[in-house]
Amino acid sequence: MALNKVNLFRIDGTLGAVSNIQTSALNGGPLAGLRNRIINGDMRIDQRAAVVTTHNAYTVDRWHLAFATTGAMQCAQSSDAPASFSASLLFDVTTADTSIAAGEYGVLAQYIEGLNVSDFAWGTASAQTATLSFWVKSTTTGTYCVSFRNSGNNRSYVATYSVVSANTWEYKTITVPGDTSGTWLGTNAVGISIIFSFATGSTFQTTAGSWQAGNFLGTSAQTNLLASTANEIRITGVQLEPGTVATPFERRSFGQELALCQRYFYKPSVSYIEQSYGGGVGAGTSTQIYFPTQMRATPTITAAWSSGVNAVASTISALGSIGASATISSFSGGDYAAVITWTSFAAEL
Amino acid sequence: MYQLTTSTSIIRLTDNACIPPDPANRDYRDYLEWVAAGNEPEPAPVPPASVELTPTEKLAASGLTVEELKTLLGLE
Repeated sequence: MALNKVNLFRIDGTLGAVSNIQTSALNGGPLAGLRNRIINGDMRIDQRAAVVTTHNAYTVDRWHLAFATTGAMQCAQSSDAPASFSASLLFDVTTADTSIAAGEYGVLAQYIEGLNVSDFAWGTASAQTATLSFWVKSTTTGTYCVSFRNSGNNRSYVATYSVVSANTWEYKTITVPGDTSGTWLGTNAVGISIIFSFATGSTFQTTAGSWQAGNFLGTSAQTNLLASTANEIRITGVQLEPGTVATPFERRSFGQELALCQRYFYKPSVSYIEQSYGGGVGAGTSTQIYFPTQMRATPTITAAWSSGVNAVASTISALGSIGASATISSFSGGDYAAVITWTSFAAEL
Repeated sequence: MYQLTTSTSIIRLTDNACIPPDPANRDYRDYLEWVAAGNEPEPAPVPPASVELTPTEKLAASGLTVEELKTLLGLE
């Protein structure tokens, strides 16, 4: 008898195949290639290589710290990681806030570009279920929250997870039903924000496990990690994928991951000597730098001029999202030169 | 906190970053919110006036003597 239809099929354990397997999807998503919509989920890429302590500051690539609290914290890449990972993102409390006021919070977040999650179809009747998975290690056991939020900050889904054992790497998975309401952008603006909360004031608290209209980061059960300077938490292996099952962390090459990050931040730290021989007063010359990948938007540029000789009126401008140009001109006629160091280009969400 | 430039870009004075007038740029949106809150950027800096050198100053800047210049131009 031929088996031509299977309505329910479940295998617990390892499935092997000695011949071809044909399927239209894996876990409801793509068979291969960018299953994970989180960029730098394993925290390997750290172009800034900085310890950040300020609100809205970017730490390892694509991840930023945000807070409103009387406490203080620092975030940086850490080499403490679970097996098969080489890095994590550390959130370390440096000044305690033992009583979280209504409007206070402390989070780590990644804003995913809408172009990378438009197939989730959130905000439509065809909204797909998605699954978030990650590793976490905290000094403090208890309940923690993750929020999924739209760009307008008026649609939120808060999920909870428990840190069971202190100072131990634990693997967590959270499945989120697609939101059939609200506006979810599929453009180069914010598509979905993934927000790990470590302290949440009542203003940002809601009920876990359902979509809410508003800007919510956690629940009343959220552990206050800011309660002591002895507290710290690390996360890594963050993956957001379509479907109801958390598949193993998608491994991408370092070069691939770096290129994905450079769409949002590029730190060349290279210097160019710009010079010209002869020319009258006001004669000008320019040099250009082109980005390794097209950036998400026209970037903010940081650069520095030095060693100027008879050079004046240096101007720096972006060439859209593909490069930048720096121009100098002669102050008094004759030879002129200057050195420009391109420090960074930022087009974060 | 911000300064205008002679172009359309804005300078963020805390780190001298050059911010393009792109609505998709988060730094530019932050700038617009800052202005909307009633703040005013500093005006664009006036570039120093260029100086036209006299012939004598140009000769001095070249490092040549009059005799060397004559030799170079074949006037001897």
